[in-house]
Amino acid sequence: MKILNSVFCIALTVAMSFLSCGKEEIVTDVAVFTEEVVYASGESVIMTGRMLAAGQIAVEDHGFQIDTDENFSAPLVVSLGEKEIPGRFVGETNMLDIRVRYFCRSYIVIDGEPRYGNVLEFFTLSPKAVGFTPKEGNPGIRLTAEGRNLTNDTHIIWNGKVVTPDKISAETFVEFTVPPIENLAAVYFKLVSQGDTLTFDKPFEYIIGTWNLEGPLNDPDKNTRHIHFEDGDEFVYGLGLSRGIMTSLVQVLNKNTLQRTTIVFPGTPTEGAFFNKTYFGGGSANKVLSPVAQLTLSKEFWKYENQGFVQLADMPVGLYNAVCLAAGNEVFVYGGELANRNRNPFIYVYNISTDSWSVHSATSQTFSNLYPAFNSGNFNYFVTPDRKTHRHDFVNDVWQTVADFPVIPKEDGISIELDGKIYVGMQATDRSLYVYLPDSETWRTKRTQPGGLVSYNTIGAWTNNGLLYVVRTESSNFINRFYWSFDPDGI
Amino acid sequence: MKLVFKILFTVFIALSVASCIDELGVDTQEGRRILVVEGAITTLPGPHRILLSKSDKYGDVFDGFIRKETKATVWIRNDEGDQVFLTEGEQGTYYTPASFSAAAGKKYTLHIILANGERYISLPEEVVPSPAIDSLSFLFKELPTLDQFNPNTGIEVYVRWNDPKDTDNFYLWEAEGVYVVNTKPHLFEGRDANYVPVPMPKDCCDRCYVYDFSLNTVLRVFKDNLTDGNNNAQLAAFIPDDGKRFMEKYLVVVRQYSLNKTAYQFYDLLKNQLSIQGNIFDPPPATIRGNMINLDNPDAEVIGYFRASDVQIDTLYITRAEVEAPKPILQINDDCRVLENSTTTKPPFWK
Repeated sequence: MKILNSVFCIALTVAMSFLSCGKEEIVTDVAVFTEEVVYASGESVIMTGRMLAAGQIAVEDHGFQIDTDENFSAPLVVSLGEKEIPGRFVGETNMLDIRVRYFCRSYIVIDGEPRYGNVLEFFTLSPKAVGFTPKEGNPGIRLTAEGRNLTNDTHIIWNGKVVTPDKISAETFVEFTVPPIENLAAVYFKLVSQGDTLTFDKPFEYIIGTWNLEGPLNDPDKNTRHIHFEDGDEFVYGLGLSRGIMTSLVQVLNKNTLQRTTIVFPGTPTEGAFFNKTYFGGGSANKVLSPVAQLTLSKEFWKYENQGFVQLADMPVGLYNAVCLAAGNEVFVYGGELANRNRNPFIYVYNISTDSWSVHSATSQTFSNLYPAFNSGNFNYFVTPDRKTHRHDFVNDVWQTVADFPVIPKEDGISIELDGKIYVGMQATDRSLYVYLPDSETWRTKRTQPGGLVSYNTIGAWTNNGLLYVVRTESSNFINRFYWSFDPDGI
Repeated sequence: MKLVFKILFTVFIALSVASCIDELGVDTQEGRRILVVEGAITTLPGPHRILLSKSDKYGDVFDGFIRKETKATVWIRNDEGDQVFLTEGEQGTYYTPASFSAAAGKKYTLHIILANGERYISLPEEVVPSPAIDSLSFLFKELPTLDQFNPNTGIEVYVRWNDPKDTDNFYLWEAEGVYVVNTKPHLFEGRDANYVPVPMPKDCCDRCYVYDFSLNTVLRVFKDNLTDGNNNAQLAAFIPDDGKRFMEKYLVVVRQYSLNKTAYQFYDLLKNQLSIQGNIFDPPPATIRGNMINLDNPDAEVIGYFRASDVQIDTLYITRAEVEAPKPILQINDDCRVLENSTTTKPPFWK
């Protein structure tokens, strides 16, 4: 009996000791709450819920129900599966319809029985279009349209055809490849999101314009630092340096027949003269070899007329590399360098009617005719090496910085008006061309001049019958002169 | 036989007790890398700043580094779906466009996608309108100190405002200042090769404006549960007198931020934790939960709070003559520009 008692005691002790070592697994009751709708967009929602319990839990499933019916008769279920510890949980779905009132509630399933949290109400939003970038480009580039609350089924209607996006991110950005150009140079494309058609207020503009190599131009001069402008049916260029030597020759090219006439300038031949619309003057009487050496400047001011020259009133000062812009009855001269190489702070204005000069105003800007400058209406425009486009309202003497030039400008090149738009480019050996649209104060890119290994410098340009003609010469020794036509609207 | 049973019994008891010891798995070798979000948007013009970093183990600098979270995609979205993307400036610092400002009454969420793909979102933060500041006033204050020859004095700046009635309002105040410092650069002494002081007078500069960004050492939050609808006054800043600040004139700028309830609770808890000094009256240490959620792992901890506030600003000049017992002026025999955040350029707003 004693032995039995002892065995029993030992067995009991062993059993108790094993029991005492077991982990305490107390499954407690659980309460579930729907905390907050953190995010609601067009088709997506993110909700948070929370399970409250005193210890470990055994939840077979948890998640959220979403329905347009407050009684959740046919809910969309966002199931998050089993859970063993209480705390916050997050549910997401992107299967909702836009502009709809929804109700959501959290749920848990314990022992096969569902329990529900409180009900929250939320509204999905409308998709909308915001903008796109870039505003212009060639077929095949990646275009990113920006919107809000865009749905996964968003697609693009481009010139009547459906384009599938390459990527939609953050319900905001739709990336796609610009289709080949067809009949339209500017395309008002649309986004379609869950049947909503979203439009942009501006079109995407293809980079257009067609270049045509018209042929060689027979010309013995190899002009640099020269003047050039057009006058009616004539394109006039000359002075400056020819083969590195100062020249007094001026070439007059008939735009229609391409017959060239050489005339001799009777005044002081110069380089770095200012010129615009048949007016020219100033410049250095000697070839400039140093960027700091004192200059001998001409104050002469001339007008080209009928294959001859009319000398006008001398300028108050001589200027080198100044900018000349003729507008109406006045010719404005900006910037440039004085004989001592200091910058010219004044704007001089020549009155055509009275044949007299006066100081218009002063400016803190530094301008040089090496960089693009042009006139449009009552405004004179200047592109500076920092890409800024400065606009001078010369009537009210107000300066303003408008659009940035698309690239850092190089020296020389063309600035020429055609049909109210200003074509600027072909600087140095560059083949790119841009157009300034005064109405919208924006720059747009035109199609680049085709080319091979040979680089060209620009002699000048003229317009004729809606086309732009550019004369360029091979950079190497300035030989082999050619001229190209450019149709700005050519597709 | 009896002895055998006794021995066996004792052994079983001993084993059973030993078997109940659980190992406490405290591993201090690995620091958890928790996302830390710091930043706020306000109704003032931008850019507003969000800082992202990952925490590391506390200890020697060689144990781990607090790493900035770079190349994250960060955006802020309001409850109407309008959103603004932030651009990274310095490493881990993201800025809204300068044109962006929050609007009172709207709710904003901060969205973050880290470079490793982790997604975070804040709970919606409502911008509660802040009432205007009525006035600022100040009081001279002497704080207790054991150093009887160097009293601890300064100026308490109080903000007064009309609290909106029948609404729960929560406030946070921050302050910064600008003051004039006059120094004596002509009395500057350098050291020769033997480290002996030798006069080396400097030509410049004897008068500077010093920007004081050191006033926000205490979180100053307030809720109106006991003063709802009253004309309230609260301490908004304390400006210690260090012999430099009140040489001539001090300009204090007080910003009154509105908080919503959850933001107030966060800052109040943070204030409590920051007040721990190691004595028996300290509040118990606690983990302070912010309003950021890891979308892929909601149980993961995220430190910090994304705040959206309305702001009211007021300024106050305090001259030396107005300070009850100013400290003797500290003589600085050097160029005033050596002082931190100093400039000789007079601030455009300085009167």
